[in-house]
Amino acid sequence: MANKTTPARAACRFKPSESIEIWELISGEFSAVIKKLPSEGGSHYAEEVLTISHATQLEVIAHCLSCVPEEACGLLIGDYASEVVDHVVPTENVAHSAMVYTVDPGAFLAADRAAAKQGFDVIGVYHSHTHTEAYPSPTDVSQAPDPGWHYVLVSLRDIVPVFRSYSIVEGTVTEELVVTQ
Amino acid sequence: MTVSIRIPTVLRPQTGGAALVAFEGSTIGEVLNQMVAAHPGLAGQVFSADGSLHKFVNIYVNDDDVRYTGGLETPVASGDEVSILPAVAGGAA
Repeated sequence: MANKTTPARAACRFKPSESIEIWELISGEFSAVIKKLPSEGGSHYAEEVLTISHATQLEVIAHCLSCVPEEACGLLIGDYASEVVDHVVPTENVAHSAMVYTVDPGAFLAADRAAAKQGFDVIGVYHSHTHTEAYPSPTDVSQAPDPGWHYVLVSLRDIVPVFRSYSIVEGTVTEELVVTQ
Repeated sequence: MTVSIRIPTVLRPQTGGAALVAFEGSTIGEVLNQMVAAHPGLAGQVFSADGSLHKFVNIYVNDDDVRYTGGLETPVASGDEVSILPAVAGGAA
């Protein structure tokens, strides 16, 4: 048999050591690509990152599902500089609408005071889009209160919820890489 | 009477990064005017062109929104905590 001496892993194109080199090459290129802006030929991801735990993402999605058919909203609490979400504070959507949201101002005050006591800040807001994609609407962009904030959108349009994060600076929307901690 | 004012992250570039500032006055209007005099960059963020409170900003003295307690004439006392917070709204519409 001509292939009798062929090793069991013949289907693999690379030896393990070569595979690692290839992976490093690919992942290196991937990192380079995601850090480029669309105008630079990269993907839609920029260098902005939002770090948030898996459990907290599920908490956000669960809150959004529980508010259907209305849009849900809440605040991201964490360290403003490191862009790490420590926890979220679900808030009442005082607009009680399927199309718009307004974070309960009193809940924002309470969340802000509590965050300050912990050495944190409100670093962003999440809300759901029940029938549209997880991308900031013109209303979201025009009313974005803080260019340093993270704007998390949860789309419930499809059966599987979609969780994405953006920065909104002077009307320019940039998707952020969501890093699950 | 000195009251402390908590500055939201969006306005901290105007206060040199300070999250907490303190100014004097007997009404919230006097305190905010002192603040704006010291940090002119805050003027357009807090007040409209006609001198009233900007519609996208909520000002609290302790737990009360000053829109419901006399507006800029709302009295303040030493030790009061003032918060300036942006309105947070949006939606798919």
